[in-house]
Amino acid sequence: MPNPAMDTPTTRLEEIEQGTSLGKDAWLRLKKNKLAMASLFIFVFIVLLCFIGPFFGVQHPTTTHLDAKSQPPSKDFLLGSEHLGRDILSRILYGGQVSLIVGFIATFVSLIIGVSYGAVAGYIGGRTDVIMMRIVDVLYALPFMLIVIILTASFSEALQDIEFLHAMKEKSIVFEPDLLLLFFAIGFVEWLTMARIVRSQIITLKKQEFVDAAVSLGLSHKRIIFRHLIPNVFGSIIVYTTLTVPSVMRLEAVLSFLGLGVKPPNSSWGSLIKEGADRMYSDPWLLVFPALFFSLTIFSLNFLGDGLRDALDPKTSKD
Amino acid sequence: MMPRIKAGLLLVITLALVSCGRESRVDWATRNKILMVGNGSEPKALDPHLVSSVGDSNILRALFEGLVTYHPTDDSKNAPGVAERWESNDDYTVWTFYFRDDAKWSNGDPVTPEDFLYAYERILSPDMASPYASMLYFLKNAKAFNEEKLSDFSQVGVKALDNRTLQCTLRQPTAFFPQVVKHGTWYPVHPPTIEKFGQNDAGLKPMTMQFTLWQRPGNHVSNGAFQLKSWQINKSVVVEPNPYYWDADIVKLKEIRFFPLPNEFTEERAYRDGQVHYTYTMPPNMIDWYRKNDPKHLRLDPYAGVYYYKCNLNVPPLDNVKVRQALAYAIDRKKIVENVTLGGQAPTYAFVPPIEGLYASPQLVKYDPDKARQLLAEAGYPGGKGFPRIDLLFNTQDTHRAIAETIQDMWKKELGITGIGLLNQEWKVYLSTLHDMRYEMARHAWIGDYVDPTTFLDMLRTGDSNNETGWSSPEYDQLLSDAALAPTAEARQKILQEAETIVMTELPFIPIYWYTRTTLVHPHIQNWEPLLLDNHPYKHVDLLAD
Repeated sequence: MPNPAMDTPTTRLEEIEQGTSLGKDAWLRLKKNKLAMASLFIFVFIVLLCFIGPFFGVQHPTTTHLDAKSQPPSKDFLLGSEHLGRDILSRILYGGQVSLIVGFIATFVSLIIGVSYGAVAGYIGGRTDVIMMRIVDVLYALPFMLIVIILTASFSEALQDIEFLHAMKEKSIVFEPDLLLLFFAIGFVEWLTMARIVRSQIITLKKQEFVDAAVSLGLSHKRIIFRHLIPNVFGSIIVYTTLTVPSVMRLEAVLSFLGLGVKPPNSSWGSLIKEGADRMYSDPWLLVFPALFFSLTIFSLNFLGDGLRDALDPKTSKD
Repeated sequence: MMPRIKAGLLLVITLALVSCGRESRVDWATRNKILMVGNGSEPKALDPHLVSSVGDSNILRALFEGLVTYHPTDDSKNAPGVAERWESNDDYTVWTFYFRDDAKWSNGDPVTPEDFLYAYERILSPDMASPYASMLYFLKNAKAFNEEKLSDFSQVGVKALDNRTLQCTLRQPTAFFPQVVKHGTWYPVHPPTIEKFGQNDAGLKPMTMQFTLWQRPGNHVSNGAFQLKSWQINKSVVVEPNPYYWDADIVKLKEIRFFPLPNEFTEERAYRDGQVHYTYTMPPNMIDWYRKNDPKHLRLDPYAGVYYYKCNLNVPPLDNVKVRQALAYAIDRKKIVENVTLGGQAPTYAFVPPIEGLYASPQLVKYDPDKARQLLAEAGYPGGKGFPRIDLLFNTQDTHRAIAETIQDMWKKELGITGIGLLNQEWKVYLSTLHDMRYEMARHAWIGDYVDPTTFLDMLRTGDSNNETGWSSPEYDQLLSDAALAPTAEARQKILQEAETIVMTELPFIPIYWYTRTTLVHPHIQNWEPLLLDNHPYKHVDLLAD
């Protein structure tokens, strides 16, 4: 009579042997975090809404309807119309494209600069590290708002002269010269923290055996940094990235609020919130809806970042 | 956690209670006879020879007084200022002003005709580069002196007959000259003060030094009903009564505080919160609200001013008259005043605002999109194709932006022009951009300096410092000169209408609407009558709590 007790350990062993990857583990842990999952869905929903929504019959965001100005939400204007009769919903969706694209492109720029800079500084160490990190300190000390303003002011004319951009901007607002500048200007000031985080992680990692192994195999420094070290700090990078996106979006909102971001008649969430804040006493919906979209996005990205941090932490117990 | 929340709640409640019991700032100010004025942008200067904006001149009107001064109820009437009486010769070309004996500077020095001569030489000096020097072109040879064609100031048509009499000789007959000298550009300055702070190592004349320390509180010497008490950049300009002012007895206010509040929404909120007695302007979206809820605060007064877009004629495609006409004909002005500005402004199809009994403009500009399209096609841009990119410049203010966005959209809808960019600049930057003509098209407005159509039309004379478009027409200049010699008022009106016809055909300025003064005036303010030019003499103003 076969002993059922004998089978069980075998199956268990097989299961363990199959194992799960780090990413799958993280995903399982993330799935358990209800707040993070809800945030993920909300975020994806807003992104889809902003980029696909405009194809489904919303009005043009800059077309004025003076005879239907300042209307509360109704059948014609789902979220109301503003002081020139432009549809708030379509302005929010198109503005959302700007805000989200700024968030992603600027974060991507900061990611590329920050990761390679931090990794190189941390890996080489010694005097190079000291010099590179002091440069970061100096840049940190500069008021970043000022840098963004100077960058936008000094390059704006040059970009205006590129005909290609003007041809493209008819197709997508992303090619608006001023916006393009904004993406890079924000990216250039946002990479500093990323560089610090990556550097500190690399310093702890480079003392470990697998790096010694890689060195003894005669791999080049470049290969060691980009194939062995950086993949090991992906966790922190991903987490910090999800936190950078909202902070970049906030920065864009601040700049647009100050009149330095998107130029009229285009909108971004920041500029819509400013226009709404000015008129909140007479037309409150002008403030409420853009602010709602903006805060939902920011919150969901932050919660998602939090959840990812917990999920990607290898020290978290496997349960 | 809980105790902290409770403490926080308590704090909020306490604050709420305290703020309820607190007397509003306006009530406190009324009790202390302090007039709190919202005044647009931060002043460029407190020097009458350097300013040109309405907000700046509001402050200068408290500090300085001209030969003739503003009347409290009617801007076309005159009140005696430094001069107690004045007279002219028969053809209005020589005007003599007789000074009062007790006209004094705020440091006690007497105000003399020499002070006025000094001031006129200063503003007309080419080195001073005063933005508003052309106001003095009424004087014979003043233009030549200002344009460096003449270096001897004694040849300019102004002289002191004795130490109580000033005589002005004009380039052409001007019956309304006393009205002109009320304007800020004709204010005197205190020569010893200007000389003292104008000392420099560069060997320049002290008189022509701009932005010296004389404008600082403590240094500033003025001759009006008030003197400068403090000036904190971006915070406030405070003036207090001038004890040496000849009419000091009539001054009731103890202080006037001018606050730079360039954002109309902020200003309106400050007003609603009881921070200021008077606003410089107000946001259109609140006009209806005040009409319904607080009508006694809302003032919509007639105002002799015109809002327009000026074109830089050195830049293609605006050098083409057909393009300018097309742009002008494609603007639906009625829609703009009814939906964007909302203050009862009048859509304008001419340039000069109507002045009752004096002047009626020929209405030449139309709203005619078909004609506009045709004109644009004739100019070589059918359907807006190939229309070069140009920027429409405006100074930072929400209403300017709303109007610009509307017109941008109208041009897009009617003419198919997509290459109009919107560019906003802060007031001082905007002024210098205009002055240097580094713009393509710009929002601009003109408020009359005196009650006469020439205050508008003179701006477009060749070489006028406020022209800033590159437009010039000898025929137009000639008509303006002819108008001054016209025998009757009707004949003069007819010639001026002819001149305006030229402007409105060539359209260096594209008119949009005629102003109404939309402001919030606190009921505590007394003697604040509606004025066509909005030049309120502060010495009559009083504050009384109801």
